[in-house]
Amino acid sequence: MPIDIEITHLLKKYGDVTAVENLDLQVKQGEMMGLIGPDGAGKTTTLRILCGLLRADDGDCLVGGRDVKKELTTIRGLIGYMPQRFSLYPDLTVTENLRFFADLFCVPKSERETRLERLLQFSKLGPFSKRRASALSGGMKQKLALSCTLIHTPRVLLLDEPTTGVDPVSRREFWDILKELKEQGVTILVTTPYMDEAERCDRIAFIHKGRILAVETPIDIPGLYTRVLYELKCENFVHAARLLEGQNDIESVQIFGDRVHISGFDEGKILSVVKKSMKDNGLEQYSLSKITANIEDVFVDLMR
Amino acid sequence: MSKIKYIIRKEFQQIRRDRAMLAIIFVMPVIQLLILGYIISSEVRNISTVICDMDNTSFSRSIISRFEHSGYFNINYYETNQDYLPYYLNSGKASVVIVLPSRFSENLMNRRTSNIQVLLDGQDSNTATITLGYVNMILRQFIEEKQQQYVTMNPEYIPHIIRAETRVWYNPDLEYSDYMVPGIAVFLLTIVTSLLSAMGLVREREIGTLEQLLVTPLKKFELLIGKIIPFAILGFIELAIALAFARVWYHIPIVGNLLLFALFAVVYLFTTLGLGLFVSASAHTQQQALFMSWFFLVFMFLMSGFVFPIENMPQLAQWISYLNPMRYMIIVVREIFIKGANFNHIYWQGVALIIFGGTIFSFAVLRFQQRMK
Repeated sequence: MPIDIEITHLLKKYGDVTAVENLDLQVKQGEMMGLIGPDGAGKTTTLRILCGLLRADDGDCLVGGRDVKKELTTIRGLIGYMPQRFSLYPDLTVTENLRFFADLFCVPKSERETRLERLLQFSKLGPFSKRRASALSGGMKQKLALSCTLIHTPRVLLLDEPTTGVDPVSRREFWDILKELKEQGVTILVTTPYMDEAERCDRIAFIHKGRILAVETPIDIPGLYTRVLYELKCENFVHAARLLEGQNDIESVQIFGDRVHISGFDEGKILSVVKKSMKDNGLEQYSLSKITANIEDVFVDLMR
Repeated sequence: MSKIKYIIRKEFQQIRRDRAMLAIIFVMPVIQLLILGYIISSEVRNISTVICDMDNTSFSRSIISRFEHSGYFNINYYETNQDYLPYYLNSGKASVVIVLPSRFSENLMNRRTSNIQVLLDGQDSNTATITLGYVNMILRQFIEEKQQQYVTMNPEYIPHIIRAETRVWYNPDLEYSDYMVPGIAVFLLTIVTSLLSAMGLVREREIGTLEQLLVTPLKKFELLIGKIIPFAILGFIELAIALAFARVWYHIPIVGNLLLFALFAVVYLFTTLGLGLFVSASAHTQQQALFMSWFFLVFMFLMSGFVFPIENMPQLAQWISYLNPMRYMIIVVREIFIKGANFNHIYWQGVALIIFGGTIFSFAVLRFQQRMK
């Protein structure tokens, strides 16, 4: 598989603040790569450098085998970039927005209308084609934004938190569209704060403090976990979590919903510590089971 | 190049949808033309006047009747006690007091100097000056006539009279609207082109579409030109409205060459659009853009001679006004419309406008490029 996005030793500073440092990442053609990391990790900076909105201080970025620094104009035709806050012209209709971007991307007139039809169908925006963008719902706006990004059939799609602030149903629809695009061979690099969305990617790259910590397929992600993880269920789980925190042989205690995740390095020691604490405090009713780490657990582990 | 037309089309689509914008473009000029053409005039009428006639002769009464019939003075009070005169000015009941002293006519008949006292409310120095001008004019005319009569009655007397025959050229009726309305045309052109272009890019930056435009293959100069041309077109629409109004409503005879005027307007647009572009590239929000533009525009308007004649300004202000591009355009519009000036008469204004337009526009383009990096 040829590589569509290749980033090597990327460096970007904003004054004294280093946003991205020594970042390497490769995305294969037709692959959907999820880029996850906390706020300020360098996700947006990386995407903005890739589409030429920012200039890197050092390092190379190749998109479709072309250097972003040297062949920006060609690359703009290859890339579809949807920023975090994609903005449409609120006073133009759905179709007018699409046509405007089609014209700017030099989509031939002969193809324009068929593509428009297809995108409207695909985003289910057909019935709203004459509606002004300002009157669309959040989810519809995002789908229109994506459609505008797709109007020139880009080979590489860069999406920056495309579903933030969108309702769960629209989110699912949006990801179904992305899956379809992927099947058509589009390379996708997407950032997301939602772990369930990350799991739908082919591979996930963890980014923290401007560096890539690991890149792995969702199936193999638990394998990156260096510790053992237990899940504790009990009535008074908040109290139990507080008791266990800071105990010897227990590395971390985190509350997930009504459960407590406990991690450490030694299975036996964790079990005995938990048993003892629970017994000493009269919490007899509980269940403890070993579980596989999810993406979030792995990420927290990697960040240490 | 071809992408410029898509930007222009989009701008017009947006303007068409924006009711407030349409009102600004089409209703605002009409209202301004209707109102400003009348209220801004340096003509003073209905001056509240006090007459203190201590002479009380047929001669003094004939002077007073001149004032009465001049059309400028409303003689609201007759006062005989000189001590009370300050009261009228202090209370604001009158803005001028004319005192004809006792034995005024007698002195005059005996070829002795006699004085008339004029007390003016100098709060508004402009009005006071104009009022004094009227007083002098009426008295001069009166005396000239009297001298004429005297000469007719005493043919052996050879008077040393120099008579000034005044003839006003270009605007013989001294119609103030003839003077003001062409200025309003320039005022509207300045406002529309500089304010709208100042809002243009900032608005896209504010809603975030600018970033979207920058990832398309659209070139920066295409964006720049596409953002400027719509406002230049709107500026010309404003001018057309103003000219139609001048002709139809104010019956101003536009004697000059309209094509020559259009040529100057195009040159002038480099200044106003350049200013707008500069502001648009510098400001972060539309609010900032508005205040920045307003800062420039206030100076441009007040120091252009549009309302306040430059000759009346202090010397320093007159010098500063040479740095105001609008000053030249106001001269151009009046020269062409009222005098029918040809290119040779306004050659220097043209040179000045080219220099200012070129400089301001270049600065704006540099700023734009700097900000778009």
